[in-house]
Amino acid sequence: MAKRVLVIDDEPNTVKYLSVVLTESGYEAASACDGKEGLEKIEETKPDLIVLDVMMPKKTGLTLFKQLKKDDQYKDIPILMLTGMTQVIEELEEHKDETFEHPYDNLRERVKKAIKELRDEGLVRPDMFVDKPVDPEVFAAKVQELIGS
Amino acid sequence: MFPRKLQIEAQDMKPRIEYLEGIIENTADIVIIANAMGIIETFNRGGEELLGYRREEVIGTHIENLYLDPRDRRAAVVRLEETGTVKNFETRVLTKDGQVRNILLTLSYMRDHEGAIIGTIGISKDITQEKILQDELRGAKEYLEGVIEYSADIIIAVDSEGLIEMFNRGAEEALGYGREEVIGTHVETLYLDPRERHAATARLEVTDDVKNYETRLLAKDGQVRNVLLTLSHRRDDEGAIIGTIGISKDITQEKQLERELIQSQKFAAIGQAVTGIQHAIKNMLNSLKGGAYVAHVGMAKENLEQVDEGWAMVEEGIERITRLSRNMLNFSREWKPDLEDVDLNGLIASVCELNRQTAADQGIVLRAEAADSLPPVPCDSKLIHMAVTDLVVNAIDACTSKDYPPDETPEVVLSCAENDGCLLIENRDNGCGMTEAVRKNIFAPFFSTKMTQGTGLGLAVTSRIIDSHGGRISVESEPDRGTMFRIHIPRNPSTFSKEASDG
Repeated sequence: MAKRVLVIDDEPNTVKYLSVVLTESGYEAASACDGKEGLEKIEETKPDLIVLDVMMPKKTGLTLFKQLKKDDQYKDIPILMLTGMTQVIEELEEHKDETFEHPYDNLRERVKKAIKELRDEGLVRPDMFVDKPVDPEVFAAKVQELIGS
Repeated sequence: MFPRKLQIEAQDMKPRIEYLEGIIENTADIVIIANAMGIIETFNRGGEELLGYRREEVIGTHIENLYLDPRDRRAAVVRLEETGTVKNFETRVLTKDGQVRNILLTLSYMRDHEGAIIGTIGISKDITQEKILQDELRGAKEYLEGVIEYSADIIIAVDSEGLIEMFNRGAEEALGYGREEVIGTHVETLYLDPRERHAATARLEVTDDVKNYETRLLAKDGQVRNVLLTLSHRRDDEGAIIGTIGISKDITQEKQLERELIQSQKFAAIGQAVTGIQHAIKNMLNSLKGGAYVAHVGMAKENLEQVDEGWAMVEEGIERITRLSRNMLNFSREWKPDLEDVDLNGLIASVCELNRQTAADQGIVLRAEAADSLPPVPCDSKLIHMAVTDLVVNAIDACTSKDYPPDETPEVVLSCAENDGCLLIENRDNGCGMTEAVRKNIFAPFFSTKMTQGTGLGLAVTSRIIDSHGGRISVESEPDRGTMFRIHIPRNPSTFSKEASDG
């Protein structure tokens, strides 16, 4: 039986795109458009992997991430974060603590802080992130790396 | 027996002597007559009053005892011996209770009929008060001179010809000249542009007071000093103008910091713009890349439906890039409204009509509330249409981002009204609202809360359009309760901003 991957992203084109990549790679794809619906779909589909966008309205990807990691039922489901935060991660890896001065300040700062907390808790690894625009081969390879084919 | 003639003379003299004695007795000055030995023989009322002694206490004592320093008396006598008269000799005497009085002593000899010296007569004027005042004045003068000299400001006084008379230490330090180099030269040579001095003095003629006039001086080494000049007239005792005095505060460093700050703000703004554009492009690329992939897979499988889906994604990406490009252009262009008489009621109705279907698809009620009677308004209908549309689209987005309770209907209301010559366009929704942090940033370019969908330029452009009409835009919002945007536009174009009126 094919492994199930749940894609949670508010951007319909991304959801469609990644679902096709997953299907083509032999996975069963499910999708949700925000964190709230994502949680419902997790209960419903019991996915083997969750692909999670970080910046979403209603419930950000990181909030959902933390919630899942604290839930005994779901904490072992691997998560692939779909985000352009590579830079932030790299900086965190280098223990830099510079402030970003641009209009995304608040959102970025929040995300950065959350990632740092998760990192401190040993829940975040740099290889859990894949940046946009997502390359289909890179994405498929990451999924395979996390859950096998 | 005296000869008769002498008797008559003696009788004639008597009233004169009494008259002179009266003068001596009643003058306010101290009059003391001492014999050749220095023993006091006469001590008038002025002496009693000013020195506190009764005459019987001092008559018969040595006059030197009255002096604070007896050597002063001896010096006066020596001078009298040398020159025959001592006038206004400044010295100090002691009162009975020990106080020092400053006096001006005029000393002359008393002679007998044969002209032999029989003593001295001293007339002293009490100048203690004058002395105190004089000391105070001198102190004040020295103090003021010290203030001027040691002030960190550049203080330069010139005569009516503009020639430098005074050049303080602050000026020496700031401009690098020694005062001997510049005193007597024309003050204009210290200016980078002498016309700036002309302008300041011209203003002084009109206003009699020039404060914080920003100008530039030239230091000896050729460096330009930015200063704030305060210029005033110098006047003589009669009030006639005898020149000017300028006090300049050196603000070169502040100006430099200001320039650096502007420069760094420019860089920050560019960095901000680049980050925003990069973010937007990345999302669009994702759409294009995803669309191309989906279409490609569809083609390989000969699945036309999937090819269509892929193409739709590509087209959407192209549409978004087009929109970003247009918005960037809109944001950076200079808005010059093309004013015409516009029916605002009609305009807001049209905006609602164009967006009603989009709203209805999301279960949102969108309606326009017209003003009762609204004469045509001078504005650029295309620009205002664009600005108002942006608010409505935002409001629809805000409603779709909120989970409504069963008893609440998502609603966007666009209205207009006129109040005291000011047009008011309001757009309110009961959508997701904004936090204070978001509200503060919404007019900043490239700020977006719409993740992948927004360009972050919509409200920045809207705000510029309203500015160009001399109006303003404000916002009130509460998370989960909704948002209200208010646009104020003055009806009278004369109150338009410069940007607008120049067009």
